[in-house]
Amino acid sequence: MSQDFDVEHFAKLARLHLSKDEVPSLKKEMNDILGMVGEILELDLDGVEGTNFAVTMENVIREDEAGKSLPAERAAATFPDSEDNLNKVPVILEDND
Amino acid sequence: MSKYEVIIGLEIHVQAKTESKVFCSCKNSFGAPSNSSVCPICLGHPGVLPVVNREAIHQIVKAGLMTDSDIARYSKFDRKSYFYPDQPKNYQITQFDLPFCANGKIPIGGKGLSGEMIEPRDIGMERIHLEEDVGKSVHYSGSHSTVDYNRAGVPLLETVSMPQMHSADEAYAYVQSLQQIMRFGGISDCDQEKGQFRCDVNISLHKPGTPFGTKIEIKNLNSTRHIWLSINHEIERQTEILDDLEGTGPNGEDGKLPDQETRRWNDARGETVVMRIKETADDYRYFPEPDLPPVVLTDAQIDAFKAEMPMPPKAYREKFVNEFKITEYDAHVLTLDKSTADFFLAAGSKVKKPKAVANIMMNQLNALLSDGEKSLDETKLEPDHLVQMVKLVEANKIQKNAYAKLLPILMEEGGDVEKIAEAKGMIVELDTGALEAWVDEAIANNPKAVAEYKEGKQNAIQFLMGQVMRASKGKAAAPMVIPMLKKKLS
Repeated sequence: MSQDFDVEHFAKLARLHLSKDEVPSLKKEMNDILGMVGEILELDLDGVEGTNFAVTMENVIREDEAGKSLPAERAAATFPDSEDNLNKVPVILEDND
Repeated sequence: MSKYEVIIGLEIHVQAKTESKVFCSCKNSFGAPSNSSVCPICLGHPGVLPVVNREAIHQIVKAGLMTDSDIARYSKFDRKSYFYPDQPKNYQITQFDLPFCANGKIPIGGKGLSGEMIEPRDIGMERIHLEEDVGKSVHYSGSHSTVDYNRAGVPLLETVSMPQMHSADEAYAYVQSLQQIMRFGGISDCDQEKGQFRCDVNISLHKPGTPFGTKIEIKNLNSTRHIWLSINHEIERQTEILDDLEGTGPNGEDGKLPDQETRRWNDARGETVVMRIKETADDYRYFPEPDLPPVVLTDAQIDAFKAEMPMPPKAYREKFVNEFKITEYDAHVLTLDKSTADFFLAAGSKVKKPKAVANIMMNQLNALLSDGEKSLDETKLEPDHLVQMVKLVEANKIQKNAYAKLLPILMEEGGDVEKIAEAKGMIVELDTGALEAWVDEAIANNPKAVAEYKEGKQNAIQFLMGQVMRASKGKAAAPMVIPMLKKKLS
């Protein structure tokens, strides 16, 4: 991992608000972590198939049966702001059409 | 012919019919009170565990089989990160590199919305993957938006076409064909008003022989008409821009559309408008969903799905053309919806000439249904009624002109066709004496037409024929009347 970890870019993607002071230390910590992960690259992995899932488990499937949901009021109580049990949020689009 | 070639690809989201949502047991329903069909799983609360719904897997495999797709023996789910309030988890569970279905085909044909015939061919479908729908947002101009999560977690089949369509009509035919397949398969009703079928269009123009142009995306089209209109508008708009850019490249080549934009259709203005300009490629940071183990399907399971797969529209069309001997176009029209196709299949199988049944359905029946704004299912008409009608005509007991009178009665009340025909005096009069009386009456009452015929005006005999039919209230056996008239006038 020769490239420095781009703290600002990933903070933006993760919607993290970082102060300027936090950037250098985070950069160092993330570079250290990436360096550790990078050690895997030194292994001889020819012929080893990639892993799609960390546990050997497959076909965990449920039957198509409808069960109980939360009361709407309780669901709405978990929203930062609500209006008639709807999640009320800042403007996304100017109009509906 | 435009100097630009149009390249169109469609991404269509189809809600699958199930009892419950795809990863939790909340009801998959439309129109329930706001946020009454939600739980900690579909709201993405911490520490919850999604589990995939068996019927959702069945529906996507069925969709794959009905579109001749390859069905994956090993499939997995991935997280797609994005930050919009319609997605309560800040990621959507979807499929990235190992979708359930790949390499499908959607047959197109029939007429486009312009009325032009479309050359029948198959459009490639790259993949169908299973994902969760997001919540439904409503936007209040300038103040705020609201989100209802009843829709979040409804199983969604995302179908991605190959960029192989070249006109709005072809895109229309693809949409129509995909809807048919989903409906015939019982996979989705594709009710656009309920948001069960939503389309994104990708469109670019380029001169043949040059690289593809800049791709413009038109998002959130929820009406077939809007898809067609927005493509035509976009072709016009991009053509104008490209005309202006001719020869403006750095080395004198043609310039390209400057911005890769996402647009949307504004129906009131009748044009596409900019939604956002894509400055950087979206960074969705896909990674395998750690809470959902992979799905492995065996050949035996897929064979079992195949065995119970409903007949796709294409199979109906092939049977109608090859065995029932009707035209490709008639077969196309008669398979637009499943109840019509099943109706024709049932009636056509019981008569010597299915074409006769097809003609009734395409003409008199279609007209009556569209006048009454009814679907076939909403009437009492049964396939056997048409079989009886056609057989009565073959046996010379009624004439084809009786169809238009019999159909409204049968649609309203049902019943025995021959008895109705008798009661309403539609049984053909074959008795020579009775026929002669009507013929004589027609000749006596219409000296002008008789004189014209004798002067050599052949058409006059049709007029006299009409008078005979009127006098007999449509009962006179038409094939016997003309020779009788000719004989008496010679």
